Amino acid sequence: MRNVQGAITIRNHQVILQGEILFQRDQSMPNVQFFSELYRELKLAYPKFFKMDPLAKLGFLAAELLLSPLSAEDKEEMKIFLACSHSSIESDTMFQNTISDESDYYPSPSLFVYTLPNIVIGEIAIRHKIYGENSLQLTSPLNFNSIIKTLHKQIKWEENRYALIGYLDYYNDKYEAEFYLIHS
Amino acid sequence: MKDLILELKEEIIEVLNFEGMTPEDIDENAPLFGDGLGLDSIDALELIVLMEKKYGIKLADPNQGREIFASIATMAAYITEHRTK
Amino acid sequence: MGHNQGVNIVADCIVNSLGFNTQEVLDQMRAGKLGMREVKGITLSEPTAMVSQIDRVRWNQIWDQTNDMPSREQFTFFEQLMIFVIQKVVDTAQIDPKQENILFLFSTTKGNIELLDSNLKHNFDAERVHIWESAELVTQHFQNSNQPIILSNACISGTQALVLGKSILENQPYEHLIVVGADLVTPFVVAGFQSFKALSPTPCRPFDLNRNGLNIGEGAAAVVLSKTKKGIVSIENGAVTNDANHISGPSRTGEGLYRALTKTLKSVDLSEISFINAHGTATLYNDEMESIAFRRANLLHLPVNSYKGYFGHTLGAAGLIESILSAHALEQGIIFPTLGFQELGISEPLDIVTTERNCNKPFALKTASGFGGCNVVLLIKKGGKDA
Repeated sequence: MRNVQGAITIRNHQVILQGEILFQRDQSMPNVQFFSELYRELKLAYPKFFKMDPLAKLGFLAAELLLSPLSAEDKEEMKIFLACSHSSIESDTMFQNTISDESDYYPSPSLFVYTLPNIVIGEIAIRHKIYGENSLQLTSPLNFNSIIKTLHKQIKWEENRYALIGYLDYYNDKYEAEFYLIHS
Repeated sequence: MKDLILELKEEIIEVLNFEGMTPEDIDENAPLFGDGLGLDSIDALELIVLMEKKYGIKLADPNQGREIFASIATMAAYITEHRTK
Repeated sequence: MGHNQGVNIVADCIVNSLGFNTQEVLDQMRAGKLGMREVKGITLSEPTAMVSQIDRVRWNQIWDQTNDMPSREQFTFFEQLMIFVIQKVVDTAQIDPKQENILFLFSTTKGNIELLDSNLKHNFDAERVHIWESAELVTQHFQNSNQPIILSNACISGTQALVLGKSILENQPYEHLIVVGADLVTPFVVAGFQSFKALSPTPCRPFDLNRNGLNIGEGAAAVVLSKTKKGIVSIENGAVTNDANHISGPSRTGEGLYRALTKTLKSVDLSEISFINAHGTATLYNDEMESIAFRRANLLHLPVNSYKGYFGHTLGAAGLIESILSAHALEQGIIFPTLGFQELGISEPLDIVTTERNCNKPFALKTASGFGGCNVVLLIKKGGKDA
């Protein structure tokens, strides 16, 4: 891939930004606690973060680290192309649990809102005021290695534009994110 | 009433998934929507579910919720008067 | 292949509550037929729900009467729908789906989400709830070995698939794309929209003063997009944007939709557009937002319609189904009315189409907006381009 200006991976409770370990915690820590600790480490004042589902938290944090050096003008028309494998299955399962039991049937609107995988893009766009093209695609976990190149090929480049391209996934207590910041 | 206020703070943190927040972080007289806790229309629907599930209060008209959910204190007052469980 | 050959819709098929192929759906719409029915017991929240469902008994008969179909039991209803519409379009377009220069592009929001319900009896592997699993089974059925693209961008997915499809055909060495969209009426989705208080208990009324929510619908559609074959319409342009405002509520200023309209309309004379087929879900906020975006983009002179009053909101399939119907309407020189609309209930004076009209201008616009703040605009042109 050409013109990569930034790269981040978050997996195994370790954040690697531009090839260097930025933050890590013991792997025994629950995932959501790890996300909260990273949030605090970044000293963000964005209480909405705590309401996000784990997939959105993961994408939000990865985007935050890559995009914070950019100006508002850089971000306004940025493109966001993300892929994941297990969609919003964590929130899907939690919402399903609110409608499975007849004696305790209370469909939760705040869970339902996260039962779409592209909500993470919405959270990133709101945080950074990004109005550009956005796309959430799904792919087999076995296809993890080629999906970022596939997304990269789909982007129609315009002059002096940025794109956030990446893969993220959250399933069965396992998570990972690998995001790239590309400049045309 | 004091117990109910603490209970409501705990419930809101729980049902709205404010993970990592404590009851002390919420002022019972501060607005829940807008500038205060920053809740939105989906959260309002979640509070309607909470009212029914926990206190047996069915709010048929979502607009009714605006006054009831102004703050934790207004919620507690309404619940005290109308609860069926 | 010439230089600016264009990307054309060369074959299409729709299955929804109104019919089992595009022509049937068009005929039923022209007859003013309503696809929604009051159905009991979908969820425990409400005794009934007004939904637009495919007749499963007739579906099984039609499947069994169709030549060369695999055994029904191997596939979920969601997968059956996709296989059926794909088979129809490859037959019509006379292409061989095995070929290396053909790529599959799927569009769905919830796929086989029913399989998450432990109360539901079925014989499918739990893995089938993952959409890539379903999509790969379908591509394998057609013996296509390219990694399929699966778009899941909420309610804009179906229209966005056509915008993305055009771009892929223009920039990558594929000759044809098979674009397929599908979503079902499930207790999961109905309960979710009920929890949002977003469902109308009666047939929905887009842009109407008394509109009170949407109806969930199910359906599937497929098209063959081609850069070598001529078709009824060409995909001229399109744009996708985000509101950067709220994850579930549309922007009050229509910002994202306005931006998508501006980008799409850069290269077209506004007097050459026959109509706008809007998203028009009949929720209070969506329809109002669209009216504001259309005014900001100087489109108040254009006829506007919504098809949601005929067969509800078919989610990830909606944008594809509605784009196909708009393509045929444009080709036949008609503009469909907005079933359910009576009295203008939005703040901008849109020209909502109430009875069928004729049209002869070459372009039409399709728009959609969805959760996550996403918006899409698609510009199609009558006649297609010469290959």
